[in-house]
Amino acid sequence: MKKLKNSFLSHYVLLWVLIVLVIGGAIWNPTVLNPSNLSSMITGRVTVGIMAVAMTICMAAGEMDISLGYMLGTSIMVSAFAGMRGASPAVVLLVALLTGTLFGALNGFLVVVIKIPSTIVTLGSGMIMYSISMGMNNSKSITAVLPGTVTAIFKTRILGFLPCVWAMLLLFILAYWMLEHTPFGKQIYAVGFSPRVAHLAGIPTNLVKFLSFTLCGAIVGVAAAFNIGQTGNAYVSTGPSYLMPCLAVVFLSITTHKIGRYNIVGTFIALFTLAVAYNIAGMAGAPFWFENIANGIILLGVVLANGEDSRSAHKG
Amino acid sequence: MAITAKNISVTFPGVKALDSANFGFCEGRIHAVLGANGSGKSTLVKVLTGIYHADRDCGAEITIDGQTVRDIVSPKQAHDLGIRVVHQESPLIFSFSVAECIALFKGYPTNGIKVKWDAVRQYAQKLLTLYHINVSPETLTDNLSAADRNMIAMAMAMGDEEESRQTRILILDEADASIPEAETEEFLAHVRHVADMGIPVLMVTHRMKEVIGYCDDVTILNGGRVVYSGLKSNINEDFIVSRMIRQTDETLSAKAEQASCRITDLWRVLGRQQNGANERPVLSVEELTAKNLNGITFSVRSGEILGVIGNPDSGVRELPMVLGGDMPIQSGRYVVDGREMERRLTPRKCYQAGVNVLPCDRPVRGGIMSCTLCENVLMPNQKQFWNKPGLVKKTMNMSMEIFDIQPRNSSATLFGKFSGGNQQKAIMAKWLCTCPKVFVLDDPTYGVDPASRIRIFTAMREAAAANVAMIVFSTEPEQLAGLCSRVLALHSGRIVAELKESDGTLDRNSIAKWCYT
Amino acid sequence: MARFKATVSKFSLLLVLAAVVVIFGCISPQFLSISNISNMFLGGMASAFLAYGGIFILVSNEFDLSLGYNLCLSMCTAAWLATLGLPGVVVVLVPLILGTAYGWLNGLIVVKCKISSFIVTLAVGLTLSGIAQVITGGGNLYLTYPAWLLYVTRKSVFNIGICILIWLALGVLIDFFLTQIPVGRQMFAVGNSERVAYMAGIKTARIRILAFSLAGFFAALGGLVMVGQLGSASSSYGVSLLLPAYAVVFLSKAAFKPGYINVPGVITSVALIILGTRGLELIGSPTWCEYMFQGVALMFSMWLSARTSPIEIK
Repeated sequence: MKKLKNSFLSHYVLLWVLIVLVIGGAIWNPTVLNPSNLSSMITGRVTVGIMAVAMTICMAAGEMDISLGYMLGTSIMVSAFAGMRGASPAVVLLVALLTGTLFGALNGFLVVVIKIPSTIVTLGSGMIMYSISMGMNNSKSITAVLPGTVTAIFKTRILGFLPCVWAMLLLFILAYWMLEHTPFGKQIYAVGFSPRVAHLAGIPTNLVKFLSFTLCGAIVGVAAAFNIGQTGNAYVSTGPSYLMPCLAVVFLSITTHKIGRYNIVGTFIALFTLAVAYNIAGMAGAPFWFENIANGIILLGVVLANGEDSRSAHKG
Repeated sequence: MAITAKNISVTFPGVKALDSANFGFCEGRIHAVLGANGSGKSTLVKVLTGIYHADRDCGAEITIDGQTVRDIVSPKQAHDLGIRVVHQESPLIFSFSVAECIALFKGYPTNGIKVKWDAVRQYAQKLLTLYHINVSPETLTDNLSAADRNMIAMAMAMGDEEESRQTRILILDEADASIPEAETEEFLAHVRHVADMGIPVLMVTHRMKEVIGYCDDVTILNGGRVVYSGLKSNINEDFIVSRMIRQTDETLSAKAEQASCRITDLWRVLGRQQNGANERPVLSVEELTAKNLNGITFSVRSGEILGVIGNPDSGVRELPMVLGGDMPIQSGRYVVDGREMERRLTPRKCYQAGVNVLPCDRPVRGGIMSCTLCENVLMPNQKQFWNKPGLVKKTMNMSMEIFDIQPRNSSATLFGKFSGGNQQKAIMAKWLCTCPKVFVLDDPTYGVDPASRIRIFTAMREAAAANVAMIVFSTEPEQLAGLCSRVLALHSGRIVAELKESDGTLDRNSIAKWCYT
Repeated sequence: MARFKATVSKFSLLLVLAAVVVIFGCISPQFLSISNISNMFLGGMASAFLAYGGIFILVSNEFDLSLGYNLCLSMCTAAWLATLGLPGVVVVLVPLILGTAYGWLNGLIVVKCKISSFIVTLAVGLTLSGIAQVITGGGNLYLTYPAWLLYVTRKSVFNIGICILIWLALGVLIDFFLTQIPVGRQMFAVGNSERVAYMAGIKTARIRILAFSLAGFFAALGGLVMVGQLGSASSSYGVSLLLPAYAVVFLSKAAFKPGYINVPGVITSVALIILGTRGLELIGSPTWCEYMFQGVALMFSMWLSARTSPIEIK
């Protein structure tokens, strides 16, 4: 019993932190638990959450994709461009999804076939995506590409939460099932930890990596679709600012549930822990830059504390 | 004697690497130190170079030039005492010139800030001339032959005339291992030249021919003890070989406790058809050439345990990789169960054809340390276990029972946390539970404790009895005598002998001879 | 024929540069006037200084993602110190010292904690960006002094920008360091094979930390140049300069000393990228072309350098 308790305690540290934060925050200021506060807090983290799902899969496969921020922005821009040119709403959304998938596949292709390290590839492809994003409307934003009826659909609350929240939840569940309960998920982890051994065990390492990148891009495409679906607008500056919060959440995932490996449950818990933490900090009057610095320190802290693990969990 | 080392004992947890060993090295003489893997050769070198330390209360004494020390504390002290060493790995930086490599090692001559390139070149030239190395200082290291590289490493270790006078002993730690046989004479002539300068040379090597040809004195280590130390002229190859093999290896004939289930039961649970017994060979290769392999032809029948031995340069490292699809085939035929394998092989294709390989370097290619035991064992065949937790549990329990993996009930523990022996047994389970037609094992007992060795041999016999063909590669002959019915000896990429139990040629000494020469 | 090919590959970058100059020169003769070229270079100076920082990093076989953020933070720090009214020397020196310190910190963590330089520098870089946001409060800060900084970064001598001359002079110093000073040669050795360098007795830890520190220094220098030129600083400037800086260093392997990173090659590549992008502007390409060009240039140069000598980024 004691042994069980010990391991549960150490495996779910972040969960305890979350619980303490929620309880402590509620005691300090009861409005924390206010349904509208909770709802807006969660809604505000949806994009980061969806991107974190994508990045978790990518990093589980042993690669890092730092173009995700630009990928989001560009997918939104390209789909808005299609809308500007008269495409129907369904097509606009589809374009967002496809653009993300395509860019993911491009990254995968460059890493697997041309064999450039993913760190460099995603650095360069991010720039290329940014340039495409600027080129869509000569560095200007595109607005109102979707009729009010469509954006209204995206803003209809179901059980009190916006559709995008449910989409995020669904993605988390699907990704969790895939990574931890399917052979493909096991192959992803094997390839991420040791492509050599995986290759010798008959796992098609190149294909697994390529699919991971593509899947990652598709998920970002989903985030893009919901983003444009909700607002009907696209801005050139959207995207890059999501990279850091996303990284912080994914890095924190190795401290929880499956210690030492990037995992979806850990990402989920980390997402909410940070959401609550920043929400409370905001209420307490922390300045706008608090979140950024905190994310940076978290990143550094996790990297330092788990030096060995973060090195083995990510081959770069 | 110029240098003596007495009562050197080095103990690591669980094993005594050196046991009260005594050595003596004389000026002007090349002294070979021979021994099988794990005999203590490299430990000796590391003690003399200050990397390992002799046990505190063993009474170790190292005397150099009349000066006695209890222990060599650090590489720096070793250097100050005049001990110079050349390792197997080249200390030369790729894409630098020879002259600059030497400068990197020795320090750049400068006029305050700037490097004096003339001085660098001159020094390099002086060194190359002194040691009769026919290479120009501007040559890029990429363009050097292996022999040149090692000769330059030797020259760097010793230094110019003045510096070489401070050398009390030159240690060559398997420095000849990376040199192809054709170039070794050139290298050894230089070693003789160094010895003639009045310096004792300690040569750790596994190449018998070189010992016989060039050395003056020989020390043989076996299990950390000195079993012979004397003049080379008093002994011959057979003597050396007989002293090198481990005297007793009960693990071979010992029988493991009967496990409550057998490998055949596991196959039944997984729905695998046992192989049929067959007179026709299940695997055969004809004139196979690849890296370090120059035309290999052999075949193996189902249920047969075939051994393959040879010294490390013979191709015995490359053949298992070729059979497993991990190294490209240049030419020749490779047939499994009547079907010819295609030229561009991958491990996946070999696995699908029924050929599984247990690789020799466990942490790099055997298993993933950060994955759980369960993930590792079931890795080649994940699809069968999808959504079948009951089957997973049963398979893991049976595997752990059959191969005696301890502790039980630890399928979810990380692979890296198990002992070497348990890891190896798990990898055997990984490859055997899919009922291969041919199971290739590359050095299966390396770094494995005796109890696990017994279990591994027992498992091999059981699998063979169930018609799995086995090919065991080893550089330790002791393993194979009681296990195999046939042993092939490799040398320089060719099969040079076939030892058969049926005609009485299969015995430990003859196997050992092929391993160490 | 083989010798001809070898000579051509040695000067391939120069040939491309010459082609660019000729083509754009034909389109518009003004392009080739010294003052115009100087102006174009002035615009790219910040990136050019970053490139120098990148040289040390890539020679040591590391990768530093924090350089762009370092540049940005040093801009913001300088502007902020100016708003505090501190003396001009402080405004210039403090960001330089801090920038070097950030580089040193990177090196320390990478070497002592043995973590991949990519992750460490990303984490540190993002933190630096956060600090920049703190200092600027999310908006712009303005720099109006010291006058000599503004003078050096904006004015010209004999029609050539002063900071360009400084940049070239520093280039000569760096080249000297890398080819004639033992520590510089050792840096190449460490980048080539850290293990062998270590066994040869070279203090690899110190050299790697030095590389990161120098990179931080040049990034900070680039930040000072940029803030001097623009007169303002914000937390979003400078970050996008990282990529062209690395692309330029990779590309240098294609000239003068094929397969090796070298300073003359870097200078040529800088010229190529600057003239190429400005030339494109000349013929009317929109700004997004610049980023596309840089992204493609980075990947192309990476592929090219991997072909001449296989490198592994840790």
